[in-house]
Amino acid sequence: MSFPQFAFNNVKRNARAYFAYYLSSSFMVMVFFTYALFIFHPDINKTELGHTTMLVMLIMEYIIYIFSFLFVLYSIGAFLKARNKEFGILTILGAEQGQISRLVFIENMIIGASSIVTGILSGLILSKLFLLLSAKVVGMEKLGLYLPVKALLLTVAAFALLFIAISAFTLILIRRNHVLHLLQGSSRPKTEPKASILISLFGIALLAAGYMSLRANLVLAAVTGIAGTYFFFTQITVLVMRLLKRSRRWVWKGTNLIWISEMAYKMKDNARVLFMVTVVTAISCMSVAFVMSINETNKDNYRANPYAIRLSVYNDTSVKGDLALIDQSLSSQGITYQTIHTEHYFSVLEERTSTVSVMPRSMYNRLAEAVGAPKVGELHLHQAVHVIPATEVTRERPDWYDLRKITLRDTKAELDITGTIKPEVNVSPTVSDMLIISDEEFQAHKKLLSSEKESYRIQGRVVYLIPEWSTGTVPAEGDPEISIGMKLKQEGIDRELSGESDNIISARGGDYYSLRQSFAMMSFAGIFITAVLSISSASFLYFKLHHELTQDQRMYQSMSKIGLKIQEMSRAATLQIAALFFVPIVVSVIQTLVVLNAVRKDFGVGEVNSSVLIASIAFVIIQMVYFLIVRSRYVHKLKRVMV
Amino acid sequence: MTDILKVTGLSKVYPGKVTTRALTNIQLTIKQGEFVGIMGPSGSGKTTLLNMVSTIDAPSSGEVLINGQNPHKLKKKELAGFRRRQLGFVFQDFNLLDTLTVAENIVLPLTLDRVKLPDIEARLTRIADKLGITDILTKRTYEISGGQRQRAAIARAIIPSPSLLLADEPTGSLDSASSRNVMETLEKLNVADRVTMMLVTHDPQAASYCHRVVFIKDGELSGEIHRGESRQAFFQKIIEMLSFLGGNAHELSSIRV
Repeated sequence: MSFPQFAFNNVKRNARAYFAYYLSSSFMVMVFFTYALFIFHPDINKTELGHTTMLVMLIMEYIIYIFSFLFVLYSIGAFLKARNKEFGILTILGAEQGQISRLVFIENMIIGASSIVTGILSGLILSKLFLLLSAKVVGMEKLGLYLPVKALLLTVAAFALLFIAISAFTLILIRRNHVLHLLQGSSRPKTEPKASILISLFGIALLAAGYMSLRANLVLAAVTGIAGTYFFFTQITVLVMRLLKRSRRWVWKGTNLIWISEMAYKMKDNARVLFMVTVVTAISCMSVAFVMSINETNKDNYRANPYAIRLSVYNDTSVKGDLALIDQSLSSQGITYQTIHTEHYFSVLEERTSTVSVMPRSMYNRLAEAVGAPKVGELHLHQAVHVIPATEVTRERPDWYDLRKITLRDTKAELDITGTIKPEVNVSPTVSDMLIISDEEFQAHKKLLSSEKESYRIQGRVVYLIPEWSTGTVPAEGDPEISIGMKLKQEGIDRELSGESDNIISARGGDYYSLRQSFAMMSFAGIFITAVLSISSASFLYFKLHHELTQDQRMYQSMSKIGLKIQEMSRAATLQIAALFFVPIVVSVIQTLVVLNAVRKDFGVGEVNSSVLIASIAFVIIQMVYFLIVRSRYVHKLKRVMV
Repeated sequence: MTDILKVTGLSKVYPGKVTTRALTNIQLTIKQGEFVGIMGPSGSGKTTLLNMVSTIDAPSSGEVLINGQNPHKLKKKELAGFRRRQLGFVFQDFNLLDTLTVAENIVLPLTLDRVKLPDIEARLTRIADKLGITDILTKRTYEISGGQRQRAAIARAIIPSPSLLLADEPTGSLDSASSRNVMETLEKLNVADRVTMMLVTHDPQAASYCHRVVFIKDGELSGEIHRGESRQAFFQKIIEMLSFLGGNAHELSSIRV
């Protein structure tokens, strides 16, 4: 038997032990390859969102690669630890260090090569399905199958590099050990996990710094937050466990004594895994919740907008042509509509930096009547009514809302706010805070402004009310509101580019649809990557648990002899596994809530809590399924050693 | 005096391709406060007998009564509780949990039975004091010597005040000084607290602390000797009995004095 044969037989005959490792490596290769297939697809760049999509997918690909790297590294580390005794025996039999290194290297390369082959083959099969699915989500007709030479080369190169690098790295790991340690394997008692109060405080400081810098500097926040999370798992949890153990009243009761002290060890042993799982889950949870919030905000904006089409007039001469264009689009489809012409001007408040639009009472009442909002009563000179926009984003009270007397900077008009209205929908054609003043005063302002600078002049809006489209629910794909809206938007842009018109046509359905589309791709990529990472992290934890099984079996067997009941064993083991599975989820949900609430205003997102809730419930459910499977298998295996 | 352990007509057969008779018709009675040793060469069935008594294995025929109760008629669920309250265990390899301190290891059976904390602490102090392990209570199992570990294990075994203490080669992995120390501890518990004990051992030195020693060979009882006044004389009698039974003296562990 030659040396490579020995290595090969080792893998072949020890297949069961290598299987989990091989399977997870293949899985990673498959995901990476399928993604690469999509990135290099010739049709993708042709789409409207091709570039952004590519960029997002490319970032995802990096994340998958980093994750694969760590995953394989940990799997190998755990795997080699389990085989320490074997290496010890080989050493005693006279194997040289170099020979053992070569053995491990060859074994790793055999597994690496076979998982690359398996991964690519299954990736090819999956890609057909994947391309169909992704085409449906992206909204393109169809993505054809192609010969993925680039994707193939990239995958092979990336993973060959990964396996070589990791194998080389593991050689350093096993070289350090002494024969005696190797022979004793994992049966040596583990020393008590240590935690330093100072480092724990440092970790807390990092988390606090991360929170503080969230709005100022996202990169800094991410770095400190992730570092803080690392110390949370390596130090703070251990410290908490030790503090918990101080309370004899609680710990010296029932099975608490067993699982709490075991947990301190398990947490410390798995700190890095838990940290990684937390970071990955937090990122996934954030992106899913963020995309969901944006979608919600988009829907809210649609619902709060009573005007199907709106023409913003900046140049009176081309209005006629614009109106004719819109009329033609609508009439040709037999759609009836009502138009209202409005006038307003924008002004900054003297007191604060906020901008408001100012509109005469009669005009506002006409709009209010048309959309069913409360009207404004008789107004005297220097009196104004404040109309608050209905949309979520601006529900944060601006600081001038409580002022009863304000001055408009542009017209130097001093106004007493006599009332405030908050209609259900955005009556204002500008979607901003609006002040309603009497018609006479508005005419006076108008005269004042016409001599002013260009940008402060009176602006006109023509709003279109289309009862047929105002059902209160968002339109589905293929509805005329979307098709006509998209067409109008495009024609408006064409006219603007060709110099035919300076006016802007905006269509409610078109705006809603194009925003939804641009996020559909991101949600798809986000959900896909989340699913992949969540499966990987669960198998990660299972892998770790599996390696501790023999040790736990020995412990529970001796406990069983002195009278530990099966239910008590099951309780203690369940609590331990539950902590491993759910602590990362809980931590990442908290992080998601904190981060998204802090940054949402910068991204113009209304409310995030419900999206975070939905996303985290989904995560908890998925994790619950993994947990139940892993728990039942683990407890079942422990039960077998109970006497 | 009441019988703590009463074994009648106990047999154990391991079925399989080659049927093995591990034990045949064993009769054994241990009375309250007795200290009984079980000896025999390797493969004689000592451990099988211990497993039957400790309810870990079920007999093929015959009966085991502990405090008048047959544990093998209990359901598996109740069995663990029975072991916890009626039996104390001392093992060769201690079976202490590395993750717990010595004190936590000792109180573990009580916490599982949800005994009140002040009660636990009182019993811990008393037992630790009696076994001379008070100053190592906060230590970890790997920070103390083998003898100390075994005394911690004995403390754990007797803290629930079991009816019967079962010791399986308690000196098997200890040096001679620690062995003597552990055996003296057991003897003290037997004399002072009238703890009933059954000791399975290879070691004639350890066995010489017993009131009587029962010998097993090839699964059958093959003799019994009682301790007289002198432990030294008893030790000599045990050695003679062993060489008579075993024939091959080197099969037995070396004599340590």
